[in-house]
Amino acid sequence: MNDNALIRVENMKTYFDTDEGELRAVDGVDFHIEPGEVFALVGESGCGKSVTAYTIMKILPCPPGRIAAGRVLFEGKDLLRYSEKQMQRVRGAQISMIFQEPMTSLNPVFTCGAQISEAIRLHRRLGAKAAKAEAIDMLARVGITEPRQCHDAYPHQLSGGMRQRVMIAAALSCRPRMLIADEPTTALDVTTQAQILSLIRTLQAQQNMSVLLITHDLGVVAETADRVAVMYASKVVETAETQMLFKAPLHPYTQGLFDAVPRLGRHHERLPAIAGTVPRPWQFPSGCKFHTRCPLTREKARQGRETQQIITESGPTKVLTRCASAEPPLQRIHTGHQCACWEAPGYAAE
Amino acid sequence: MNPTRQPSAPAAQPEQSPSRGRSLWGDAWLRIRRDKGALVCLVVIACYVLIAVISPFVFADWNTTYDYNNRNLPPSWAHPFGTDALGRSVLHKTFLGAHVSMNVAFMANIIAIPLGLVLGAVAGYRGRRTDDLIVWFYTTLASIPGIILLIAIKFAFEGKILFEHTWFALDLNGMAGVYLALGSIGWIGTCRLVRAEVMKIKELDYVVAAKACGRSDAAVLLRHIFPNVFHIGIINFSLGFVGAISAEVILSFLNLGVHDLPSWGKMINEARMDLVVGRWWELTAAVGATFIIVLAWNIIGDRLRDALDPRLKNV
Amino acid sequence: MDTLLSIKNMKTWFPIRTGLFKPTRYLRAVDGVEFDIPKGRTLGLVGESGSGKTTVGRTILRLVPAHAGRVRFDGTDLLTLGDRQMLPFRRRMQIIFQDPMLSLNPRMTVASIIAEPLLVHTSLSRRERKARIAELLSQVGMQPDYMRRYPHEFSGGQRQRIGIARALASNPDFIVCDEPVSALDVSVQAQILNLMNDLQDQMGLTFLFIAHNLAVVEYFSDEVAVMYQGKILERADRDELYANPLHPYTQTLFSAIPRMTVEKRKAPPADPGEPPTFAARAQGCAYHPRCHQAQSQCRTTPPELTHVADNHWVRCWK
Repeated sequence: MNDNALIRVENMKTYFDTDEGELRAVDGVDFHIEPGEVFALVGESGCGKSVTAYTIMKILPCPPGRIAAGRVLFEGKDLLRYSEKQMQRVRGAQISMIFQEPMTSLNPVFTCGAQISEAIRLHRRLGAKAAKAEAIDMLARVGITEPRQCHDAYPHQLSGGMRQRVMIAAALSCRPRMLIADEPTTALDVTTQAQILSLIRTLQAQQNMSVLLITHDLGVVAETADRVAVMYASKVVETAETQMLFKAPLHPYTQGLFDAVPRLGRHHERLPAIAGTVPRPWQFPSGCKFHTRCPLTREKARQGRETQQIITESGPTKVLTRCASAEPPLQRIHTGHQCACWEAPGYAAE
Repeated sequence: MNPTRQPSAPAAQPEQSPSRGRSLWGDAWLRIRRDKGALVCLVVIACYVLIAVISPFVFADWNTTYDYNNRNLPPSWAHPFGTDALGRSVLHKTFLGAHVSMNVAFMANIIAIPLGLVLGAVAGYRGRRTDDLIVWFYTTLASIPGIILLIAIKFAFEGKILFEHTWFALDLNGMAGVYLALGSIGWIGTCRLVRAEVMKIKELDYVVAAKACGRSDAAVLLRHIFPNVFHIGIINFSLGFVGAISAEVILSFLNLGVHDLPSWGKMINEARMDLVVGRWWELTAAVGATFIIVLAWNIIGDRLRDALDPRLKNV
Repeated sequence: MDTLLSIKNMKTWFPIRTGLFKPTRYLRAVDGVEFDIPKGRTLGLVGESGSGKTTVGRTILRLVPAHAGRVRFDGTDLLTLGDRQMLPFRRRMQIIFQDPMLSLNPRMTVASIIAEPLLVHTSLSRRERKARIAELLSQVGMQPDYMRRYPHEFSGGQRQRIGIARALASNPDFIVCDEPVSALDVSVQAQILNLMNDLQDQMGLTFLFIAHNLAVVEYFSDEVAVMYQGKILERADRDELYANPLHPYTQTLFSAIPRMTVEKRKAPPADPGEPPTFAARAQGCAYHPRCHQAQSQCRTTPPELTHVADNHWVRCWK
C-alpha cells in the first residue's frame, strides 16, 4: 500500500433508515485517489456513487442517513471522526464540490460574485475588496469572457454552461486539494459539456488538484479520468486505469455497459443490452449482486459446473451456484486493475 | 435493521408477486396508521365529534333549566367543572359548546374547501382571463382583514332568513350565518395553493399525454388534475378546522356568534368578569376545550401533509 | 415510398405577455421548419436544449398551436382541422416522453393509464379492454399482472415501457419520441431502443425521434435533421450526414461527442462560446455568433435551406 494517496476510502458503509427497511446505499467501498489525479466513479442511478461523495463531504441528511462503518483518510486524517466544526474548515477550503444542476446549487438572490467572494472571505480571511478582485480573477480563469459583468449578474441571467463555470469558480476559489464533481455535465448540452470537461482538466493540471468525478457516462470518463471505479449495487465491482478499463474490461457488468452504449458508426448491429433492471437497494440479490443479470455466469452454467436455478424477470435461468451464494471481494488481477467477479480471467478464488 | 430483510437466494424480485399495487392513498393511510401521535389526535377528534353529535339530544332542555341554589359553585364531584351564574353545569355547557364549534367548523369547511378546490383548479387550468378574474376576486377578498370582513358579513346577515318557509330554511342569525360567513372567506388559501399546483401539473407529461390521445378538458381535469390536488383539500380541511373554531370563538366573544346555544366563545365572554372575583372554572373549561381540539387538528393537519404530499416522499 | 407526414414552413411562436397595451412579442420557438417522413421510417431530430425540437413534436400533434405553416398527415392538413375532426387523427398519432417519472399519472394504476387511449378511441367492453391491456404489456416485455400496480412501484425503464404501451394502445401509425431514452440508465437505454426498433418492424410505425445524443440518433434514424434556434440547419440521410457533415454547427456537434476510446484526439473541440438566449437573437444566420467560419454575409442575411447533394440540405452560405 503506497501512502502518498491524497484520500483513501476504506470499507465505507452508508445506510439509510427508510419505511421499507434499511437501505444500504454504500456497502463497503474502498478506493484511493492520488494527488493530481482524476478519479472517476461510474455507475447507474442508485448504485451509490453520489452517496459516496456525500459521505466524504459529510453532507448527508442524517437521519435518515447513517455512516455505519469505514474510514475516509484525507491526508492521513479520518474525516469521519471530524466534528462538524472541523468539517466546515475542510469543506470549500480543502475539498470542494460541484453539482449537476447549477441552477439549484447557486443561490438565486445573490450575485454570482457574492457567492464566490463568500467562500474566499470565509476561508482565506481576505477583505471585501481583495475578495472581489480574487473573484473576478477566478471568473476569468474559468473562461468567462466578461468576468466583471458576470460578477454582478444573478444566476438566472446566465446560461447553463455559464452557471456551471461560476460554480467551478466558486468551488476552486480557495485552491482546494480536491474537487468532487457530481455529474457536472449531465444537465448540459454536448458542446457545453465538452468545454466544461476540458476546463476541469485544465484547472486540475494548473492547480495540481485531485478530482473525484462522478458520472454515469463512460464517454465523459474516457475524456477526463486517469483512473476509474465502476460501481454496481452499492459496491465497487472493478477499478482500473482508464486505458486498461477501456481496452480490456474484466467484469461482465463493465463489459455489458460498454456494449450497450450506442456509438457512432456502429448502427448496423442490434444493441447488446444487459437483461433485467438495476435491483433496488432493499431487494439486492444474494451472492454476487450482478448474478441475476450476468451473461457470463449463464454461459459458464451451460458448461456443466455446479449450477442452480433462479427466477429472473424474463423467466427461470441457470447460474453458477458460487455466483448466487457468495459475494466475490474486490481483488487485484494485475497491477492497477482490480475486479470483483468469480469468473473473471485471472481472479484467484480462495 | 435486521439482516434478514435481504432476500436469500435465489434472488427473486419481490415485484413479481402478482399482488395488487399500493396506491399513494393507501401509502398515506399506512403512514398515518403507523404514527402514534396522529392516532391519538384522531381519537381526540372522534371524541369531540361524538360529544358534538350527542349533546344537543342529552341537554335538549338546556335553555329552560336553571338552578338558582347552585350558582357559581367551584368544581366538585357533582359538577366537575363547577356551575355558572345560572347554576348550570359548566361541563354540560362545554359539551354543548363542542356541538356549536364542531358544527360551525365542519360546515364552514364543507363550503370553503370544495369552493377553493374548484376555483383553484379552474383558474390554474384555464389560465388567462378566467385566471385573472379569480385571482382578482380572491386578492380583493384577502386584502380586507379577515376578522373585519367576517364582522361585516355577519352584520349583513342580521335578521335574514334564507329560503324561509321551506324545510331547508337557513336562519342567518344563528349557526348558519356563522358558517356561511366563515365558508365564504375560508376558501382563499386552498384556492391559492390548488391554483399554483394545477399550473405545475398541467404542464406535466401525463397531462400532455391525455390531451394527445384526445381527452377533453373536463376529462383531463377530473381524471388527471383533480386526483393530484385533492390531498391539498384534505390537508386544508383539517387545518381549516383550526381557523374556523378560533373564528367562531372570536365571533361569539364579540357577540356576533350563535345566540340560542352556548358556545366556547360566549363562555369566555361571559366568564371574563368572573375571573376578577376568582371564578376561574368556566373560562378554563372553554379555553381548555378549544385548546385541545385546535392542537389535535393542527397535529393531524401536519401529519396529513407529511403523509399525503408527494413532494415530501422519496427524500 | 409514400410520405406519411409532410411539414411545410411550420412556425410556432409563443406570445409573451408584456402588458395590456404593449404590442405582443413572440418567442419564436419553431421558425419555419420543413421535412417529410416516409411511412415506416424514422426521422431523427437533433438539437441542443432550447433549439425548439420538442416544440416541433408537440406542434405536429397539435398540443401547442402553430402560428403558420402546414402539417400534412396522410394527405390531410392537421392545422386546419377543428378539435372534433382532429379526434380520429389523435388515434393515429401518439407520443412517448423523456422522463418516465413525470409521464405517468401517479394516482392511476398501470391498467387505467394504458386504458386512456382505449376509452377515447375504441368501444371495447371492460373485458376486452383488460385483455388488450394485458396484450400490450406483454408486447412491451412486461408481465400482464403488473396492471393493477402503480407507477411509483416501477423502475425508470419499466415505466418507460408502460409509457410505450400507452402510446401503442390505440394502434397508431406515427409516434413522436421525445428523448425517450435520455433519462434512462445506460443498461436500460439499450433495452428500450431495441424494443422500439422491434415494434417499428412489427407494426410498421413511423417515428419522429427527438434527441440530443448523436450516437443514439444514428443508431435509430433513417434520416437526420439538425435544429438550432427554431430552424433546421442541415438535413440528410443518416449515412450521408454522418459521413459528410457540412454545416459548421453539425461539425461542432460531432467533435463535441465524448469518444468511447482513450486514444488522444487530434484537435480539442473548438467552440467559442455559449449559445445566446432567445432575447438576443442575432440578425443574419442564427449560428453566426458561435460560428468560426462566419463571414460578413452571415451577419446580415439569413441563408436558406439549399439542396447540396442527393437529399442533403444545408442552411449555410458556404
